[in-house]
Amino acid sequence: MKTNKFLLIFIIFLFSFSLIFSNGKLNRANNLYSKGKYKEALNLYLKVANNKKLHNAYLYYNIGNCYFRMGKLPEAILYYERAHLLKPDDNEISFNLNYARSFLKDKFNVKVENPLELISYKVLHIFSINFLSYIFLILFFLLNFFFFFYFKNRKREKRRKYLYIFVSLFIITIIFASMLVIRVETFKNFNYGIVMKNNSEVFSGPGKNFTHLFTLNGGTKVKIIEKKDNFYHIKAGKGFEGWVNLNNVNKIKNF
Amino acid sequence: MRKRILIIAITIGFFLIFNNNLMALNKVSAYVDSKVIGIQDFLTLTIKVEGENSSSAEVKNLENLDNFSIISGPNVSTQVSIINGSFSSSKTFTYQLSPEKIGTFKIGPFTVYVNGKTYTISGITIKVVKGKLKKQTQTQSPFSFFDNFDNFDNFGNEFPFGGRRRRKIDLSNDIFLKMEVDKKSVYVGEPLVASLVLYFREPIASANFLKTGSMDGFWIYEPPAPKKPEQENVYLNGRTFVRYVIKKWVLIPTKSGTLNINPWIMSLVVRVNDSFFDFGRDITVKRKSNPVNINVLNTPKEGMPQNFSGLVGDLKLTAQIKKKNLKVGDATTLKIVISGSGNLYTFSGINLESPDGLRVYSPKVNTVQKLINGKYFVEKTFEYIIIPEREGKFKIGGVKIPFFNYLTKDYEYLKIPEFTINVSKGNGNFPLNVGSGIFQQSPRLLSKDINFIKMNFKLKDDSKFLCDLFIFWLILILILLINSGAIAFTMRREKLISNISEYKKSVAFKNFQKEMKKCEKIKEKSEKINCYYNSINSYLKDKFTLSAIEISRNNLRKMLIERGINEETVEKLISILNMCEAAKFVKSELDKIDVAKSFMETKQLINDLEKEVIEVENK
Repeated sequence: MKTNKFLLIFIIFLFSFSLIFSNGKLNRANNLYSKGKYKEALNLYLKVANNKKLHNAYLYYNIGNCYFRMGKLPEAILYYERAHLLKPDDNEISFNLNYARSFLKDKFNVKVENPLELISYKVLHIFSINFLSYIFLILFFLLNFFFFFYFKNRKREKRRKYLYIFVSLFIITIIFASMLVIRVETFKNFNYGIVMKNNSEVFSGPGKNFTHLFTLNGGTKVKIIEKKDNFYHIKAGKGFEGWVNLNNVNKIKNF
Repeated sequence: MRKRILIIAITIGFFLIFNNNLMALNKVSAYVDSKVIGIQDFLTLTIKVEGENSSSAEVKNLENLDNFSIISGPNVSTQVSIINGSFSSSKTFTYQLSPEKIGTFKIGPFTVYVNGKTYTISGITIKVVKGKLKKQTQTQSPFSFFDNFDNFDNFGNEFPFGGRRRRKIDLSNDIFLKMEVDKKSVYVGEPLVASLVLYFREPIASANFLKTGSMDGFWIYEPPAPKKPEQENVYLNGRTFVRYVIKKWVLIPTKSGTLNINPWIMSLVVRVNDSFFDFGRDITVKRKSNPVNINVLNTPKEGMPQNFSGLVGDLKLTAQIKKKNLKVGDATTLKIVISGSGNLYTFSGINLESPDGLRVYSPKVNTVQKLINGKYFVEKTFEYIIIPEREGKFKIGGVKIPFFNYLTKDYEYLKIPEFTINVSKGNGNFPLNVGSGIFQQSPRLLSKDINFIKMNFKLKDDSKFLCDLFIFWLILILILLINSGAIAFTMRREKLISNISEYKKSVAFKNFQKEMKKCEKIKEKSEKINCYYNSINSYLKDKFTLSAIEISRNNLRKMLIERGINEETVEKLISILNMCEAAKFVKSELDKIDVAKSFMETKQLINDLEKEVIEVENK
């Protein structure tokens, strides 16, 4: 029993120590960035990300900033995209991503053009997935609560009142639940990549012996349809579809 | 054969060259409508180009017409005609010229370019005499119906109101244009006022400028036209004239020497009445103002201060500081006003040195100029914003600005007094309160850049969502289960409550057991027995839905047997009940009873009874 307690304390100590240690690294990286030492800051950020094996939006955002300052646009865009995927509601991430994109040579990014799609995208991305989950939980509890009250009450007037509340809550819950499901599904099925090298050749099939269709520049966002051998089947805007060597493309969602 | 072809070829070639020459031949001529004109007349000059390529003709060298000014033109007209297959075209350039002097002058020669070729036309000699020779250009007055009779000689004499031919009207001494200046000799930078004045005795219907006179070498300010035109009656050579000021300028010479104000030419429509019965007719006349020479002197070299910037005038200076006691970061304004008559408008500024610790911003400059009673007045305001950067006593001002006073003909100074500013410790950072609104401008976006990194954030995994966690689903299921349980419970309870007797029936045995437990705790024997008795009674009442009366021994036996309960059980029950009743009233009976045994018996009995009831109900 005593040894167990000791072990527990030791584990807690180790955990908090590692947390402090990683936070120290983070602070050091922040300081380096503030002083303009972007390369050193980047190394520390990457270390934190690799050691912890976690996907933090702000960490990716900071990494993106380092790459941007170092003039590595494709890498910067990749990390901004990762940060944006994890926190689509953060304005600073969106701004930096768009700003970095404005330097791209290829302008045919996968962009939502249909106004209806754009509106639905905006509405869907008002809240984060976690926020939606909390809301759903609360709504579900309230729904049950009011259903019980509706059921229990014998007086007609009160029953009607509870019924109205229940029906409204039910509709809201359905809306939030669908939003949550769509968001989670889109997140899980998110399969986009960033072209990392300039003049990446795109072929008509998964091999270099196929026809060379077009060339993509670094930083271009592409939709990955499938993977075969060493090639990704990608789509980069309307009519631009083909196969590209997977060494030239990094997946945005690598988790 | 060869010879023949050669001859034909030569013939065709010759014909072509000849024909080409024919086609290229252009006729160029220049003529005027009259070779003798009055100074008040207009001259029409026509240059005509005829020939194949006339459409491309251009007139050059007409700009330098001495003694004549171009009033209008060239009016270009092109004519093309094909008669009996022969093609001809012509282009005409028409100019309206106005003589400037009396005498005999030659206009031209004129140069015309046609399709790359140059044609020169020799000049035309024109004699300009005093007055007006050409027939008046008549504009119809609203009542000029009778004017038309003028065209018919016979009608004129038969005019019903005794009308007669129009007399020839000489307006040369009745209307004249004059350029008037208030000074003829000035210094460089000294303002003078020039006015273009029209003197007339006959009413003027309309007027327009034909030529504006240039005023080179002057800085010109033209004040806005007064609402009430400057007009007065004057006596000139014993005759009354109306003096009407058309335009007024303030002229400030910018260089020395003789500067000219060149003549202005106006066309005026004069309304003349020949007789009492006449309704008036309009006569167009032309008037030219006199040229004026201004003698401009340099300011004297003698006594000229070293830092003299060329400021000339009759000037004065006032200076004011808003606050002399300040806190660090507070702002104050130093207002310097220079006013008077002079070349202030072109004066660039004051060299106001800012002492260390005082920040003096470049001034906001405002200039107001106007003519007051024919005198030029100008006021220039310099507003300096001063913000102290640290504590201390600061001195600002004490500057002398030299200028040449044209009235005293001497150099003088405009003096900015020295101001002392006391600065005490401020209550905030510098710069804080910029008092004047001149610095408040909307910020301008100079450049764009990425946002800065995020400094304070928790290192948590953002790819793991709440809805992915087991606890999320557990909570959902728990909520659902609790609610369902609550609903089921409520339903059952409600159902039971809806039928009280059924409810009582169902809970009779449970209640009996509870009662028995209570009875067990009672220590007093008689009370204990009484408790048993009551428990059995209430069980029977609830289980078989009986009233108090129905629990008489016979009724009970009968009813229980009817309901299919074993007789033995019934007898046992009745014996126990009897025993309890006896013990209640007779003490000796009470003593006989073994409490523990009777308790067990009672319990067993009710248990059996309950079982039997359930069996019967199931059957």
